[in-house]
Amino acid sequence: MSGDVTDEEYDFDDEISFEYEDDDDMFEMEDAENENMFSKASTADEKSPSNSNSAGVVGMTSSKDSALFSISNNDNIKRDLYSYNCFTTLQFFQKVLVGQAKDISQILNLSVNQVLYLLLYFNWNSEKLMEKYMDQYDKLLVETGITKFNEDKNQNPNDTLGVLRYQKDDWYCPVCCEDAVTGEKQFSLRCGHSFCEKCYQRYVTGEILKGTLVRCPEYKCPVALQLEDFDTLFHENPNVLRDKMPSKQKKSKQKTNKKKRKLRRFHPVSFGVFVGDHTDSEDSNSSDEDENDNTSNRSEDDRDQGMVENNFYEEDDESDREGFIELVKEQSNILNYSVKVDYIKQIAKKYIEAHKNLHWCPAPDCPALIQVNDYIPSKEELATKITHLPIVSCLQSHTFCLNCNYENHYPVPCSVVERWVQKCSNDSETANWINLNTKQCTKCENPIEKNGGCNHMTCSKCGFEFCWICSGPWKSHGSQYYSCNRFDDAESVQARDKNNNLKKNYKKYLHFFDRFQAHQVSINKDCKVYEKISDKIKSLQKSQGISWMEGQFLKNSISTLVKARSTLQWSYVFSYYLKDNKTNSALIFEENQTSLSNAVEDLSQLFNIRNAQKIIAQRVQFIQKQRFCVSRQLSLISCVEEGLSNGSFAFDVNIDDDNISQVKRKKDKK
Amino acid sequence: MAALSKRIIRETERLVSDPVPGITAMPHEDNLRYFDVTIEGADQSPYEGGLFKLELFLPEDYPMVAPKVRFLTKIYHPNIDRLGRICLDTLKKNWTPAIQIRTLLLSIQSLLTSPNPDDPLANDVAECWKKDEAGAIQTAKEWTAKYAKKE
Repeated sequence: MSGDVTDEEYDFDDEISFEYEDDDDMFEMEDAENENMFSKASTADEKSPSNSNSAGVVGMTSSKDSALFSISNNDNIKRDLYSYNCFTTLQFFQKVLVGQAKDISQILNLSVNQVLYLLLYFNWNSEKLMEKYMDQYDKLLVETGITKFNEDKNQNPNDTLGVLRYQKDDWYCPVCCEDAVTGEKQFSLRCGHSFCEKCYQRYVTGEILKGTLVRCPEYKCPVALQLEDFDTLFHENPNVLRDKMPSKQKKSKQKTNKKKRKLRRFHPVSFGVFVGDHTDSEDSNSSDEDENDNTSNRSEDDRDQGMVENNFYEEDDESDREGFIELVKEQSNILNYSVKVDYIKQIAKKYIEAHKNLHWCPAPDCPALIQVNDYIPSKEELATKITHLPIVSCLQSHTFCLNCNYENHYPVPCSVVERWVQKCSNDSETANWINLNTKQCTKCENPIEKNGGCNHMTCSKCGFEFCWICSGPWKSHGSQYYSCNRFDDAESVQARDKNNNLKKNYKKYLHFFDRFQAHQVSINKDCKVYEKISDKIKSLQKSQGISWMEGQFLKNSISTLVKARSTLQWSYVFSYYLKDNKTNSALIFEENQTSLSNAVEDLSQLFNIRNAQKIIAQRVQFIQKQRFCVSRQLSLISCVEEGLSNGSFAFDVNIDDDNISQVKRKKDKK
Repeated sequence: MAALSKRIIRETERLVSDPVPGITAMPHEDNLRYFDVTIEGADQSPYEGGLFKLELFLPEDYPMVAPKVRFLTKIYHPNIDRLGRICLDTLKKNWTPAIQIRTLLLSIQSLLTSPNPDDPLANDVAECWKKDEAGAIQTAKEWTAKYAKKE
């Protein structure tokens, strides 16, 4: 679902939109055991205001307010059933990790970068850090290499940073062993271990991949690079990261505005290492000048850096979807390559992979990160609570389930989804051919293709001889070729039944797979319509003079349509795995399925209207059909949940047992 | 084969002209990145009196990546497996380009004096070492006498 979301107005509302649902409008299933009720409940127009509404459904409808507001608020904290935030890696670093460091830095009287350094040292265990610090901070600072050996803690923080110097004549780099060259530089951290600039850069570039502190290359030296050291070593503009964060600064507005203009002007091609204020680049150029000059310039540089830092660590609460998309573009732009940014990404990546509440968006090439703030129930707990599925969507509108990483798959439990996906990923065409053109050897179940006219089959695997026509053993056939008179033989009947059963299951699979697939195609097409809709709304706003808010019905309708279709699509998977489709609950489910299907197609049809004026005229129709669709979707989901929790639905575990999976399982066993 | 870096040349020169006591390292004539190494077992250790042969290879990216080192002589040690591979932090995550061949060989020598059975490579040896240290040291001595005899 990669709609045209760069325009912030078209904030695709990804919550299951129950916002138009009034509580008493809900079609609730009456007690499923009551036979007389199902015809009533399945009649779409009937309302049965029952109170058997499950907690999950209540939870969803109660989120309707925030869902409504999220359209206009552009709040990147979306409230579904579970609260979560969406970030890019860099945003995550800036907001969460730096935020953590900031809090601690206020307590410990250290700079934010120093706290980040210490947090990395303690592998983000802030309690351990605090404990050690309270215990004996001077020892800690020396041990971690933050301060030079036993120096005054109140020293100028700039003294703790690394320096680039010109190489002296009698010096040689201990790494490459090349003698000093006039004009070339050497770099050393506060420990004083110098290596030539190129070796140091090469070393650091390799080390950052670990996502931990990058230590001085000297053997057993505890000192490591701070973030500022990256700027010095790689001649990067200290603002490079901040520039990459199109944040809305409140303080020092003038400067920010200037920056922003620059950003747009340079964007995207020259937005590399050299971007930034003219004065800034001058400053970094000046480090190429004489060494003495350099030191005097440094302090200026640092002051500037300090100021910039304040901006850099400023929270940008209003970062919106547009900003996110821009960030994604920035992240993928190779010209923006900066070692420091890469280092930060690696740090964040390491942190993310160690924390279970952080999830990458599973969509290909989507860099979005979901931070979940609530407890997510386990798959087992969710097996019957369909409405509690942790379905989230990233800011690029990819909707997925946190538990199984597949798309929004209401109303099917994750375990069933996994089986379905596995089944579909088995080469279904091949499976189809095998099933129709081969028979299984009655003894070893190896699929056998008949490649000649003779019906006397000999399994190439186990050597069992049988009759192709009746599948019975050949032994009892004697010499009566082509005139199989053993038709009613118990063994051959059994063998045939088995094959027939497989074929029946396969037909069932194809039946539901076709429907599943058809809706997938429709969803893709609906998404395309959605992309066009935004243009349409724009033209409507201009030509018809309607307000932005009024135009929203179109967007909401298409959003509902896609979600309802997806639920419908997955409901076929549910049908496929449903063990007994003759029970009352199953019939109720099927009725619900049918009426959702009708509702979806009705709504879908409205989008065939191309004329803008007609669309406006049909506005009430849109809203009505959309509401109806939502209600049908909701009732289908709650019907499934109810059935699963009271045990009237059971999944057929053995249905996938066609010969392919049998062969596979045998192979696995071996 | 890429040209030898100045670093390798300097290190080789120094290894030959100013050898570390108890350690020799000679590059092969046909491949100057490949070294024959011998390490004497330190006094007061189970490996006392033994002479252990090792091979050392400097990969293309040396010194950005650690050399490959392997014991050729059989040795009973919890951090060295039966193929002679060594479990040593300096060779793995603590490698930095500032470490030289001589520093590395010294730390291998000190690994012989202070085995670390809590971070084992040869599990069976480490288990013996933990359960019955005296017995394990005895076995190490026997192996030294058997396989690492000085000629």
